[in-house]
Amino acid sequence: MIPPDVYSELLTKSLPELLKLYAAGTIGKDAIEWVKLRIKKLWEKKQYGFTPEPQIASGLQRINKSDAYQRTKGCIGNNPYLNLIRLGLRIEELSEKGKIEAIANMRNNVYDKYGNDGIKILNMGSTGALMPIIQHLSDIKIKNNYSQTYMSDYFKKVIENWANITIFHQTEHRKEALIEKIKHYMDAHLEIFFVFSIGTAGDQAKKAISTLNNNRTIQKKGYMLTLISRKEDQMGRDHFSWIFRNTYNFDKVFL
Amino acid sequence: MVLSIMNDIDVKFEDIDIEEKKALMDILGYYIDENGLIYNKETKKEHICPVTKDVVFVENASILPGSTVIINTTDLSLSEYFTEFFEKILN
Repeated sequence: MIPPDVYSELLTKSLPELLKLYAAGTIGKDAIEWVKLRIKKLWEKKQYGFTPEPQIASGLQRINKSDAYQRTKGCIGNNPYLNLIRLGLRIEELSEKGKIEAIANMRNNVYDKYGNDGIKILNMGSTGALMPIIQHLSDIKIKNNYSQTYMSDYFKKVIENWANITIFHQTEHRKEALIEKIKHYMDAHLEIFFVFSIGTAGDQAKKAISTLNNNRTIQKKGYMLTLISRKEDQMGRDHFSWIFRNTYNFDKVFL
Repeated sequence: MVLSIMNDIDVKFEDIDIEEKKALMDILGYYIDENGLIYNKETKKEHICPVTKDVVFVENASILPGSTVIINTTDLSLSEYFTEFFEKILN
């Protein structure tokens, strides 16, 4: 028989508190049996998870609820890529905070299971390209009412062709070289390609792209330009992402 | 509707010490051998992580909500747990 005052006190305890009591074994036999049943009952409510990495689990739960993750899931449906998208979004946060070791561990685990495709998605996260890609996927799905199967295949092609459809511009590359590279990509009739740039390199890229836009080169070559993202990081640097879409229905190199 | 229900649920993730972890596993039908390996009380077989498909040692074990999901802990395995179990069990 559990004394009423002990019973009332036990009733107020949370699952972790009851586990502590149960593990310590400092309560009477009757109380122990009651605590055991109470722990089972509270566990079934699914309010707690116990892990050596509570920050990671909480972070992933937060990402799971994020607009970016939910949009991706809406685009590609239930898909193993979601495991990597979640980590890509996490790596984006870790990169902004400079958590290099945590990122390296994650890369090793992902490479072992998902190989290069997995690493590419993590790289999208660490370079700030993942959010713009998600936005692009979401935009084209809504605009064209594509199915999740189509979008999943499309995303797979984006991953496969990633190195050939992206330009990561840095200041030392110079404005003129960027202009030439963008022209080269348009002359190759790529279906889409992306330009990413950060900070002062972003300002340089902005000028290069404005030049191509103002002299109508982009339009003449059959492309539509969209600034899909401009975001400031924790160091106050702007991250720019542009997408170039081929507007012709013929002669373009499909992904 | 499903998404909004799922988004309203918040699981509290906490680290607990080994003895508390062992206590919870005992209550949930598992035991730990002298090497820290987790076994199923009923089958007396080593518990296999449903995500990594490997045996699980108590120190690296995450005990997660659902019909008791015990997994090896890495960023990737936790992410896979969210896809394979979390989203389904909370719906």
